[in-house]
Amino acid sequence: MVLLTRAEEIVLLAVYKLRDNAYGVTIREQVKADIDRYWAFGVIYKTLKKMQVKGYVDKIAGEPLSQRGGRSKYFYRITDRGFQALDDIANVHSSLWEGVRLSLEK
Amino acid sequence: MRRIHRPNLWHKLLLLFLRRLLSSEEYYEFKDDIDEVYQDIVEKDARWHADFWYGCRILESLPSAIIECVTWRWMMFTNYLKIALRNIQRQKGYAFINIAGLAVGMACLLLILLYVNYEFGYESHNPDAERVYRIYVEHHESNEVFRTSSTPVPLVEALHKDIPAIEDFSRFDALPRLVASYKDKRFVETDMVAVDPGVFDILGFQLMTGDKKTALQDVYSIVVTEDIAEKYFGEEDPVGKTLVVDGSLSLMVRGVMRNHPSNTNFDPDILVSFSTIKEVFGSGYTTNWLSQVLQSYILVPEDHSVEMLEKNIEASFSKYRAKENDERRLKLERLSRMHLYSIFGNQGIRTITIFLAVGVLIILTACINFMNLATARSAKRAREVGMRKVAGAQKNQIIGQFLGESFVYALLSLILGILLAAVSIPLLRNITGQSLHVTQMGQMPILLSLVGTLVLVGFVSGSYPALYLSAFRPVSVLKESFGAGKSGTLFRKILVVSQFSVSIMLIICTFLFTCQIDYMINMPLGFKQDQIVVIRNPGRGSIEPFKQMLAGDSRVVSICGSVLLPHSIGRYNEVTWEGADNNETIAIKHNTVDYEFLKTYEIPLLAGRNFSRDFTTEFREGSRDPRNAGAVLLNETAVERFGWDEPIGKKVIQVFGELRLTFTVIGVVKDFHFSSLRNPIVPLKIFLGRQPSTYISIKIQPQDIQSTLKKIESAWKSFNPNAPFEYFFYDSVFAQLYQQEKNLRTLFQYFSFLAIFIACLGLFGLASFAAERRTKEIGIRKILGASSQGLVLLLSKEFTKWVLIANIVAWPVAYYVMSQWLSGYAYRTSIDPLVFILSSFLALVLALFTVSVQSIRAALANPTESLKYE
Repeated sequence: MVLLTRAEEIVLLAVYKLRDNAYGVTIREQVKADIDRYWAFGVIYKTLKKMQVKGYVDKIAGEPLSQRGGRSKYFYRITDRGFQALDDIANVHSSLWEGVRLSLEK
Repeated sequence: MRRIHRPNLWHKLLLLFLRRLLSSEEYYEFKDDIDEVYQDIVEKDARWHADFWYGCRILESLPSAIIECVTWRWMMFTNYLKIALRNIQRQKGYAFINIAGLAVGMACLLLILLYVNYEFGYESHNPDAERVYRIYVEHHESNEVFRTSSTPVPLVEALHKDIPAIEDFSRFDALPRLVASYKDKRFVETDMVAVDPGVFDILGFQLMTGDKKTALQDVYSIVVTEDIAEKYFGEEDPVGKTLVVDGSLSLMVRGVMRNHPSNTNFDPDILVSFSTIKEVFGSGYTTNWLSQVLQSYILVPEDHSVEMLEKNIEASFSKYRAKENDERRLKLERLSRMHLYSIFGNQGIRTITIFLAVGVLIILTACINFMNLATARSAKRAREVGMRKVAGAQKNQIIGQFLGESFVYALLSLILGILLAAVSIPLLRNITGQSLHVTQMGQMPILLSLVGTLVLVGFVSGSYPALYLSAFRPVSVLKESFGAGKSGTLFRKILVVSQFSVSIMLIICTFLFTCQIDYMINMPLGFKQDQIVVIRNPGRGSIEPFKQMLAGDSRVVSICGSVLLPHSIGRYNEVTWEGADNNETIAIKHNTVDYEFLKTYEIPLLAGRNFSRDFTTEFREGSRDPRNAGAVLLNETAVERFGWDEPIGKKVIQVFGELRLTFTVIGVVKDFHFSSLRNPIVPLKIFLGRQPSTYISIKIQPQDIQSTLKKIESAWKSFNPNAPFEYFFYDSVFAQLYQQEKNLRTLFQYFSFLAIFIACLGLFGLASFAAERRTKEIGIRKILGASSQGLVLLLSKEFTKWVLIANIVAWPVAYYVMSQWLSGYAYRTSIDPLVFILSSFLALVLALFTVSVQSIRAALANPTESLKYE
């Protein structure tokens, strides 16, 4: 079992949550909502590309748009393998944290 | 309606950069995404705010884009490198031809660059070389111009007073050979000059001890080099010591200067203060505006207009003109131009240009090898290109790969070339006499041009194969067995033809150099130079006693004294002559000799008689009467120039301003060559001197030379016990006379050999390729009954054709270049068509030999073997 890296985990979760509307801008906003920090576009694309090569996400060209000068908007969709990878990492997390109870109040 | 974002300039720059890093899909995805957010911000917020946001997004994305891009490129690069090295390994012969050719070419170019760099380095140690000018004199005569760098003694001092722009000046007067001594140490000094105090700034001499303002201020002061100080004073402190010169003159050392670098035109050992010369020679010397005896240098501010200065000098000089029709014009020549561009020198820049051109031609020949072999053998790579294209390689990636490969070759050859050059530096040093050293390769201009060469060679030799190979269509190269290197054969032929043109040209040049040198060496000079022993006499006074000592000896044929030797007469003065129009004057050369000069050198008299001891009035300025100043001999050219039919008894008048000395012509000698054969024979007059003894020439019998020399030495010792016996055989001078041409020839021999070597390497590669390609054809032909000779002929025919075509290009170019070069010689050999035929024949033989090695092997191969091949 190959584990996702932390960056992959965050981006892949964002893609998962956005369902049919996952592209650069929305993914970035979702990441911000999740971890309260904006990531550089470059970092997001890089992670997406890596996951695309590994087969966790598909890159799908949308309809050509006039706002984009006739170019398509590229959407990302999670694949079955990606879903499996998320499942794996969730399991790992829960087993890692099992029995751990951090006292947060000082 | 959403407004389309129009990026401002710095956004554009950033985007442009990003565009280079990313593929077009990635780029537009990124750009469109941030454009979208940008529109939102612009609608809600201030424009500048949105712009700022936009810029920040690009900037923060750059690092990851850069890392991404570099990683991928590096991976591709390592792959290309691996493929390139594998190819070198797999095809060793082919790689050897390429690398050896290029390495030899690079080594040649590197050596030439070293040579050129050294030549350009002349006077570069002098920080003021650009501000220093030499004054020279032009005599204009009807339609000829005579130039001389010798100027009158008082000139530059007067100019310095008159013209404020002249910051400093120095005269430079080479003194004759004199004996100098300190205690018991005694040497003949050949390089003493009289100079003004300004010389240190002007010629860049560096004082180690002593003050440059005052060291040469006083009478009887001298400055010596480190070597001279060491020679006389050893460990002692030289400053304050006294050298005794010429037996009586005591000169005090006031400073020591650094030894001169090897590439300078000024390397005097001892500087004598000019005031000393004034003191010794008296005011007659320092106020003579007519004799031109020494060189004058001036220092002017930077960027000062030369024309302006020449005008000022002209104006100032006109005040001092000693006579009405003084036609002398003063001109300036910059010190930094003196070595290579001098109007007096041998135009070193011409040689440099020739060599640079040769170096570039040789490198190009090597590049052509690379191009030819790479395209000819393209079939070997066609599948690889096809596969890469199928796997998604862009055309420019393939171009990049093959360019990169040629850079690998260029780099390997450069390294090898540097090693080759380092090994052959001593050879070049021997030929050119320059003090070259391996460390000079580390100099900036050389390093830069090496990098330049690397890039150029990589690019020139790589670009054609790269374009050619990258244009392959994957479908055709992968589907069928590829018609090996069929296309592009015309281009390849043109390249081979140009290679051989270069080689043939160089061979022709080498032959013609040799012809010209032989011609000059064998040309009868008009006097005999054999069996003559020459003694340079550092003393003065009559040599009659010396002559008497040797008079009875039958081994000594004749002895004469002269101011100059017959092969290098270079002193001019102004004369007019009986029957000249409007007192026309010309500058003609002269030598002063004694009675035996003509006899010793066997110069024939055409008319009249030689000087005779029966008359006492024949000495130059022998009587006080200027109207009868002595007798003179002229050469044929002078008589012709004066337009005399009956020269004997006519008058020649030497003009020194007011002073006019009249000489009577008593004889005419046959023309002889008294300077290099580069120059035509000009008018000459020969005076009889009372004590012309700078050179003593002794004609001896050819037998038993050693004992004759011993006899002469013992006579010399008793005649002049202070001076060492230093002599040379006169014919050895002539062996060195055309050294420059000989050096040029030697270098050209090497270069033409290397050029033809490289061309043959290439031809060898092509021939072996052709033989390989036609293996099957040859096998079938053999089975059908072709003879081996017939096959060799078949395979060699095509290459022979190329070499023959190369002649058509090489001949006219070589003819043009060599007639240009020969036009620099007054006496030149005719350009023999045989030379051209011989050169072409030589090239053809070498080419045929190269090709036949491959053809014969192919032709002799067993057809059963060759038909099995595939």
